[in-house]
Amino acid sequence: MINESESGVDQFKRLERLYHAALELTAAERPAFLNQACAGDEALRREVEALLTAQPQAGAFLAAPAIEYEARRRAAQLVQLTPGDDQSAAPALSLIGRSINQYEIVAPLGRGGMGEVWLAEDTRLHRKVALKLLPAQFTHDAARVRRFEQEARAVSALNHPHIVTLFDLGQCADDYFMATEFVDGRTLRAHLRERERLPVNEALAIVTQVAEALGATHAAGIVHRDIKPENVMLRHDGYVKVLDFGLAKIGENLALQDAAGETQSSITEAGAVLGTVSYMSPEQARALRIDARTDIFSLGIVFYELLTGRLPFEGTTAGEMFASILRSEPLPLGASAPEALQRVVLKALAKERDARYQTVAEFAGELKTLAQELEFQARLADSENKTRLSGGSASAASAPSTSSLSSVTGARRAVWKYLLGAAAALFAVVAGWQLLIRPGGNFESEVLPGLKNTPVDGWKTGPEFNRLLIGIAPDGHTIAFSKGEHGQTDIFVKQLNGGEPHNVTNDEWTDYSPIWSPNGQQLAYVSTRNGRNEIWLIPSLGGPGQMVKTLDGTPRWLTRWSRDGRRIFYEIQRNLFALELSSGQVTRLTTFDNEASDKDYFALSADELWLAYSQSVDGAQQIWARPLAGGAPIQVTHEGEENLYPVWLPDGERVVYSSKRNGIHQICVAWLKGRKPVQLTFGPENLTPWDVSADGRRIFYVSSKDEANLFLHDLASGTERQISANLLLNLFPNFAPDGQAIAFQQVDQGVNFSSGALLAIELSGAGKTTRLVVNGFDPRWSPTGERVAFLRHSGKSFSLWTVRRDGADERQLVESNVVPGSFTQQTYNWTQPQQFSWSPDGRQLAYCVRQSKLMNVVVSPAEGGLPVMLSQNTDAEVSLSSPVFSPDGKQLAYLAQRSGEGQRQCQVWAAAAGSNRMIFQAAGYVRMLGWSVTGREFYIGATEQTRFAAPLEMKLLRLSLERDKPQTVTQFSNVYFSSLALSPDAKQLVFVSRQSGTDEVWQIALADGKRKRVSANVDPNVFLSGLTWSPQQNQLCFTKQSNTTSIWMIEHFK
Amino acid sequence: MHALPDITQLLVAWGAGDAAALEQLAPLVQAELQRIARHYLQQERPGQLLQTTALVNEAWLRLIDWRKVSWQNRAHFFSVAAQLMRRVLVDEARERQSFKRGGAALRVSLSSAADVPAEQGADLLALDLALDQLAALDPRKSRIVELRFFGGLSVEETAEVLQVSPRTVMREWSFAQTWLFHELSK
Repeated sequence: MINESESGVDQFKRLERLYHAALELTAAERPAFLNQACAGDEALRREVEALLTAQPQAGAFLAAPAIEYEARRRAAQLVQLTPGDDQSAAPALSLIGRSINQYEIVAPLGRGGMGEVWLAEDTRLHRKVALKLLPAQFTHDAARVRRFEQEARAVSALNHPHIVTLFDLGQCADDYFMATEFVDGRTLRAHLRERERLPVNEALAIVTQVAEALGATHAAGIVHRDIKPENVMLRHDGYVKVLDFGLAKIGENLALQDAAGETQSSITEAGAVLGTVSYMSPEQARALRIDARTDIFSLGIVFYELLTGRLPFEGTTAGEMFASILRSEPLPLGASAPEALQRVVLKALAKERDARYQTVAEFAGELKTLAQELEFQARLADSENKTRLSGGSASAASAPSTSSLSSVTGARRAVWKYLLGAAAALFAVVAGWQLLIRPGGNFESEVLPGLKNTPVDGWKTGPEFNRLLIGIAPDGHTIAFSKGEHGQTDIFVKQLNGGEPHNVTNDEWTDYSPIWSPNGQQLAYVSTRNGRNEIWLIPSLGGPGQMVKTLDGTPRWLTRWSRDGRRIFYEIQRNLFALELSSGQVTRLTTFDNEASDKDYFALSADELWLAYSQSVDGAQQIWARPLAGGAPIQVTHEGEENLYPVWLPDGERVVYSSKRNGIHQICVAWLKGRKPVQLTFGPENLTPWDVSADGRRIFYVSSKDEANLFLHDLASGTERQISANLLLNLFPNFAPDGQAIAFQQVDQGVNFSSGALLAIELSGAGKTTRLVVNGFDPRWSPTGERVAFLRHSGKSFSLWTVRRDGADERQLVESNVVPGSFTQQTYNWTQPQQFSWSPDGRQLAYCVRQSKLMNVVVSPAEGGLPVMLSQNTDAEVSLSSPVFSPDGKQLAYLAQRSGEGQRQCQVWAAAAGSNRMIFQAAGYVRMLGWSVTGREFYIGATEQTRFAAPLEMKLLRLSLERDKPQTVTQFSNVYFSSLALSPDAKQLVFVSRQSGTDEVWQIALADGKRKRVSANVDPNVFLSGLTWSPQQNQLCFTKQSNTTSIWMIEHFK
Repeated sequence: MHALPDITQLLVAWGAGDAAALEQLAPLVQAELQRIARHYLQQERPGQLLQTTALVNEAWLRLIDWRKVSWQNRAHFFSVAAQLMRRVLVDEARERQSFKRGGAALRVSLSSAADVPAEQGADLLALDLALDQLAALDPRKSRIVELRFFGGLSVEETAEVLQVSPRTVMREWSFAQTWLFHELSK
């Protein structure tokens, strides 16, 4: 060690000099240099070497200032777990931002008797998980925890659609945690709280699904022990998922102790205990041995509560509760409840185990019979009442307004009336709420046991994600896949037993669709270079590649490498081709007419004799197979509307494919002959299969999930607050005129932005959320704040509606043919429609309609009444959009665009009483921004780029109604066209720009052109859009969008 | 600014050698740190380190009313502010260390990349000692670390305070970083 003498200082200086000199050299050159420079001073040499070794890691050391660490340390201390009485209330203080192993906590989900649940991101696999933290009091008994773990893993291995999948269990510091599949929905408790009690068919659907889950675990010898509404999740698509199998085991003694000593417990703890005690069976209350019939009793209590809104056994203390469970008989369900229902519930609630259903299967069987009976009666009633109840929510736009959700709500309350004829209405409500009417949905499928879903790799992507394709090596242990990152797509190779993916192409071109040579030594892939598509070969371990063929056209993918290694099959424009590697000769193998044929997604069987593809049958995409040489095709699937991406299993008798089921693409397997397809996955994300291992045991698939959450940015303080935290797309934020609430649209999956739930969230207090309508598009608050206008997509046309801010009184204003706009169907930053607007007094709405091929601007009274046409368009090539009222409501600016041949022309028009004139014309694209306060000028964003690529160069122009020439206010580059937003006073402009690889929000003062960055974003794969000003101009709202893609495999497939 | 004792004047006093000023300064700084920590918690989205750092730093520098500080004194002030922060944090860490806190304390290590599994208090104390050692060998490097890490100054600002080029600061900072990292991982 260096001492502090004079020579120490000198030695330190030498150390520094040598360190810097050595850093300039390569690692190989350093030893020789140090030998010479240290000249035998071994201590010095060791010191330099130690520093050089430390150097790569030291860069992160002290990288952030001390105050940052201190803030984090204090923040962590502020976060303490506080017990709460409300079981689903969010924890009072936050763990947000904290990491537990690879899990980064994102948002609170709730708390239960056994701990807190958080939404977290698995930073390794980039997927969302529910992370449950169990307090130490539950986990000090190691043996008990181990038994619980075994049980939990065993349950998870059942791969049951109604059981939440367990990902991980472990300990980090003092926290024992469980990471499970994140179920995007709410607990049955939360559902009940809002609805008091449920219609019989809905209660039946839920209880039957729980019973199915219990059936599977009971067969495996595992009892849940704690069935209650808190442990049942309802997913948005109606799937029921049961939580926390076996978890009760590690907490139960504690609960009983607490219950016994209830007087000592605080009120909140007693509440939690009561919550569990209420669903206990007599044998649990007596602390006897429990078995499967215990779960049946608890499920009986849940069923009773769903139907009646109250518990069958009641008590204000645990003691009273026990007494009631042990002795009292439940009150009847209600005078009008059908006899059969009464009998089923009471049998499940029998005190003596022997008098109950003996197995869940028996119970579930009765439930299904009951459901069928009730449905039959409902249909009967429906046909008798057809005239009265015509029109459901399925075609809301064309239905009379009396069938809107709000007016049916009343019918929902009359629970027993369904037998007398209101059942159809109830069914409509349930369908509107996206809940299943029948257990298991419309897809009856057996469940293949023993399958394991294992994540392989995952990452956040930009819009390049659709180039992801996977190939499995013949050895079954290595995969190759194409992955897009930062605008570049390369081929990666990854060992399945671990290790990081290795980039084998790593060039500036787009490389995709790797397939393996039969001996596993080479990969073939498509490389797109300067618009040319080429097939390349590369050693699978990496090394220089070799171009083998330039193709005519863009291949969707390489289909297969022939078994003899001589040919590569690929698909271009819905036809299959083969490339002879030795000669470069190409043979076309199919002769489908690519214009007329709707055969799509080709897969070639392992013996190269059969082709599988997707083709529509009565509007539904089904999987077909036919001999490549020609011959009669076989229709492989007969259910569902979207069956895509077939992949052959090696036996040539089965096909794995992606099937849309209850709105989500799931992996299924279908037999060419003699058996119904079986669904293999049950998760909430869209999945696509890509390849199957040579032994047929492993199926590789990709999951892809788009997310967009809303953020509120305070301009004065620069602080940002997330106001939606879920896995959906939350789009089109629009402020209420008082700035106290935001309306937005919530879309489930996929890229169809034109329908989703419209919600309004209060910005103060607890952030109360109101559902405005179940299905709408682009909500816009009226200037009075009382109503929200929106478009609704139904079939082929859009209609215009308004709804009161509390979600009641939905009214249709325009029945059909409203123009939805042209930039709304694309992901990422392109999604800001502006197709209609309110007049400043809130009395009128301006929008565009298309009638007999002609588009025109129309103004309608918001209360209903005759529309007035403002434009006189006679050219079918011209599209009109974006009508904007001037501040005094007397003028309306709108945009006219003519695409036709050649260049795109844009015109801005201003219409007023008796006049309609063009105030601007140019080639390119125009975004309408808004009027000046005086109403004498109008602002637009314009770009001359006619190829619409983001980000682009734009100008901000001021159009004067009095002068001819537009003024250029400012120019900017790398800006997203649809992000531009003018402040209400027309003095500030905000926009999203991508200058150094990430999206950022910028602000420009129009008076002096001064610009500043108002929001930074460090993630290149997060995209900002929907930028909106608050009416008070103190806040901005925008969405952050991202896509997470991950590769998975199903193992142990047979 | 707030109706609080004037931090700027206290800093002037402390910088001029008035040891008693520290007693008044420390609680103010701590209150500010607490406020910053709360603010940090409200940053609901994790992973925005850059932004947070900037915010936290700005908040700290806002404590000082620069209008009351002459240009000549600016450099001196940055320097004193960095020393103050070092002093407050190290004193607190010492207190925490002797207090031996229970299991509830959460760890935040000094390194953001490699999570060094050690109590931060201990880390800060070790860093404080190592910085003193460094000061004996090369005072300027020690000051660079103090200004950058405790004062939160950028390379350019540090260069301004020390009247050297940003390149020199960068070079010396990276060496000091490596040297300290090595010292502390011994």
